[in-house]
Amino acid sequence: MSTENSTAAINKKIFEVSDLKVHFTTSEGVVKAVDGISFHLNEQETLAIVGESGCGKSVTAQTIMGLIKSPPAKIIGTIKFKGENILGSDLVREYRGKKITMVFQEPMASFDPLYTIGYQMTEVIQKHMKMSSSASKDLAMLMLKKVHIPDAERRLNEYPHQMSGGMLQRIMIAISLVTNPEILIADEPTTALDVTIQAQILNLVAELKSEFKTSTIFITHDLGIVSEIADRVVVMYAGKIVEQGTVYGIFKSSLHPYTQGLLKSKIRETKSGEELPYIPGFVPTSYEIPSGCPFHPRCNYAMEICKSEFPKERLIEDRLVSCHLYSQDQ
Amino acid sequence: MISKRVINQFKKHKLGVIGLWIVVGLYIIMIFSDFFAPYSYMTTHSNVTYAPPSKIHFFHDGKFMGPFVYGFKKERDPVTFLLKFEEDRSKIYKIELFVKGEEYNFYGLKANIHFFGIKVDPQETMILLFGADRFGRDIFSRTLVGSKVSLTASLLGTAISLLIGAIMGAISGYYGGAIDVLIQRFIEVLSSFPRIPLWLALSVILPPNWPSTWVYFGIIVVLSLIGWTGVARVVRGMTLSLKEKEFIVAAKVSGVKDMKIITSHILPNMSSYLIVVATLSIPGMILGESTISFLGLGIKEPMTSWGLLLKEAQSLTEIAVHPWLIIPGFFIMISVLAFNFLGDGLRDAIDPYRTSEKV
Repeated sequence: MSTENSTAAINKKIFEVSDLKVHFTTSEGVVKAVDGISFHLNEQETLAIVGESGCGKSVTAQTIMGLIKSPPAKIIGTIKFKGENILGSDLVREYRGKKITMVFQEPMASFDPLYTIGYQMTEVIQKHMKMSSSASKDLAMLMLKKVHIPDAERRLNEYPHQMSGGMLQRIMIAISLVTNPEILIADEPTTALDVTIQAQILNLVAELKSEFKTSTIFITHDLGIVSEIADRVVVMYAGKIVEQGTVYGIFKSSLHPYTQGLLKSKIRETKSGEELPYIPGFVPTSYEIPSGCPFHPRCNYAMEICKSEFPKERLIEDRLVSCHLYSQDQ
Repeated sequence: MISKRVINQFKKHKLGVIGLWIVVGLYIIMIFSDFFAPYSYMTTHSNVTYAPPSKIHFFHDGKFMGPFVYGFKKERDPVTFLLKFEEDRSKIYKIELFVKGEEYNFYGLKANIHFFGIKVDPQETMILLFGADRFGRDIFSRTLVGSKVSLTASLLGTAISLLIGAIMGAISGYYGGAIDVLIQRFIEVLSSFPRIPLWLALSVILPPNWPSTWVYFGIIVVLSLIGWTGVARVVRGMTLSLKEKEFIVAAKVSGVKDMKIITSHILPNMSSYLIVVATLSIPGMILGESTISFLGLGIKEPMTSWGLLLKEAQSLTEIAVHPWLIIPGFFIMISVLAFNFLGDGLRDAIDPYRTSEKV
């Protein structure tokens, strides 16, 4: 359903990350959690960032939100929000929570257990929108209704432990949209929920997106979700972006061997009794990222050059891909 | 925080319940100490210096009389020249309730009704449950009134050290980095000093000409300036684990200020632990006050506290000749034990992982 939106939306960049590097110096060496990534987000678009655990998806999100302190972390690059660089500037304090909001993975842990839902909602509303307490309560109730929480008035006076994970995640989404933000970052918002609730949440996100016209960055490792809600996809591996492009292009004819492997690993294409397809080898640990293209030890098409040099990004069809396989072709 | 579950769990902890009742009892006695004491804690009675505790009798010549005490006559030991108190069996003084006696100041009101006593001029004879000290003051009355200092100083001291400890610990754990290192090393240095000399050094700073109430607050400050380190460590550890919780990150992301996060999200979430830590640190404070007063740098005469009362029993000869002087020490023991039991009970009750196993 969201692909319709994307075609309608004007392709105007609202948010741009260029050559972002986030390195942590530890006693065991430098961890390159994010190593030179560039991507952008268009207005009213949903961008999915996919990749295995530890590939740097969440660090990217946290860096955007200004949650990673520098020092100790070393952060280089630019993060532009509407043309202004917010990385390392005080602007991020001003924007986060109001213009850029975030939804977390674990809804049960995202609320302070000591306060009622209503208190936690009105706290945010009063902070960012300078409303009276009764007006903010009305707004909180309205938002609860928008995320389909029944009996909103009673729910406002209840504590987080009285609700289910799915409800809490819906309330979390309500809180993150209450300030009418321009960008919503959802960090695996459905991972902790079961499949039926996942579907509800995804429908809700899509529904609210069309109402609030919020640009969304959706971080996930679930390709099923990506195909359902994303307009464009960024595929990350070991701190680098290996391929990015429209969801249609990537699912139809992925270029990078890693993306191809990921797509092949989906369960539905195998018959029972057959071994599930997988990418051979292991995800490298953050301390020992292979030289050159980090995927080369697991790649079926690996060449000599892959071991020494990370390929430059090339535009092929509608996609940006970093792989030596396509270097000669161009 | 203090839910029904916690209360039920606490009720199962017998020692904890006993501790709670003793603590409540001690504080009730403390609040009405002037009323429960048969005499004023300040009045000296030269006729009863170092009088031993009076025995309470019920039968006179085989006849039931109700509780009473005999009068006493004094004799000098012909060998040691010490005063000896003998019961004078010809004089009987019945113990009665609500007796008019020496005047005292009851929180601003002048009063002279005592809970119990004997209707006779103290110059003639007295009822001395714990004996008398070298000025002929009733040690029982002084012990009761002394609890005011010992029990409130420990409470206030704990409150202040909890406040300092919670703030320092939360800042240390929340910000981490250089601030954390600085605060932690400072705590290590502070707690590596031997306690008693440090207390003494700080108490010496209190000017000797200060009035008693100032000295009292001075001691509280001294106790809490050293006592906060333990609390700070616990709070720091808990802050470290809490700040990784998503609701703290969520608060940060929604732009809540650091100080607000600490005061309204981090500290309230560890309040049940803070209550336990506080209860368990009160005994240390009681002992601390007693130690300072015992060593002569705390509460000054004629005010009274348990430590100060024990100071009378400092030398071995004193204890040998007047063994009743150490009775106030038992009050220190009982209150310390009661607080420890109470703290243990609370800790077990609040710990959610203990619900299944019953001890």
